[in-house]
Amino acid sequence: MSAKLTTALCGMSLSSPVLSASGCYGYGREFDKFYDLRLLGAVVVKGITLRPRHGNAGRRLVETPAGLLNSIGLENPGVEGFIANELPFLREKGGC
Amino acid sequence: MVSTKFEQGTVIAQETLTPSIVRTLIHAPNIAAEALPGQFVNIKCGAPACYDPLLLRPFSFNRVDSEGGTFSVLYRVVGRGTELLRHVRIGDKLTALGPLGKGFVLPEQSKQMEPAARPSVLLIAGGMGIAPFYPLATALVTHGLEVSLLYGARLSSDLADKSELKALGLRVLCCTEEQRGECSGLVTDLLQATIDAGDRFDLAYACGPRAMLSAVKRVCKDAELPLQLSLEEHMACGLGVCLGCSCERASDEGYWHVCTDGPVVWAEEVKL
Repeated sequence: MSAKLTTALCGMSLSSPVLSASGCYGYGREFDKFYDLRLLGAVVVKGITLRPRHGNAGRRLVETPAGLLNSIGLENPGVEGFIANELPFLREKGGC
Repeated sequence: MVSTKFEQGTVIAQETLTPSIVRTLIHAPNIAAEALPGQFVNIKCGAPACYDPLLLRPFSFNRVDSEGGTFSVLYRVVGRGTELLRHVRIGDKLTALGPLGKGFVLPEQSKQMEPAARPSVLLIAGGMGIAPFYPLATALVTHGLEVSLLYGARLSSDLADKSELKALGLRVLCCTEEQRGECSGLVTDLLQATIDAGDRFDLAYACGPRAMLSAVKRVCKDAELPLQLSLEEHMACGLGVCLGCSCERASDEGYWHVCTDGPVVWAEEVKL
């Protein structure tokens, strides 16, 4: 990665200013099959709550003209689940 | 390990089966090379540079020719995506993402099924739920299994793939909601009648509307017949990222995600 792209953000040095958007990128693992995640400056993971959340019942998605409304309900594995099951993969890919 | 990829496919043929049922054949060799029965593909139905509609549309593989590098999708025109897809022309380019999801578990891979000398398998389709069954039936017949199909639709003209599945050697029983013809009624009634008549099967597969799958699940549970369901759900990414295509788990709290945990699941795993 070119040194010109090196970016400082909140005290961190990122190799690139290109970051994934939270929510649209899962925990990074889902996109690893398409390209090397190290090309990103950082993976911004989905929102994580203290305790796991199952998310909302019923239909969660409605398409709009050129867009999408969703009501997932913050489904996530919780902090401990994230540390145990997702963080090791992200560290392996260069996350800190 | 499934190797999912984006691919720019080329439309090879458009077959209009009824005014609202269409089969689109696409040349996309990388996807076709790895597609398995019961898996699906997401297709961008609008023009390449147009993001309205935004979402790709999920379709079961209806035919796969891995050597020829093609697959087809069979669909009823029900909304904007399918309306756009029915109007693509031969030679048009389509972006596809696939193969996606978990497909059907074949009898020799199934732990739920009792070993049988020549397993007898039952397919149950409602309406466009027929779409994934041709590749499955081909695999089952190739393995030397005895395969029956119960197939229900609103109109007899909607019974797409009926003659092609018969030609594979399946025993095919159809019913429609018309008040005429060989059998009038719902496919779930036909299923109950078939089981009541003493027909025995080792494994069943069902695909169709959610209410139909719920009724099929009840009948198969009473008959102690292991059952796999191919589920359909509103979907965005197809990759397990957005978590939009949820389906309630049967055994504990929480949800499966149809795109990555399915679309094929064992019936006892889900609440319908």
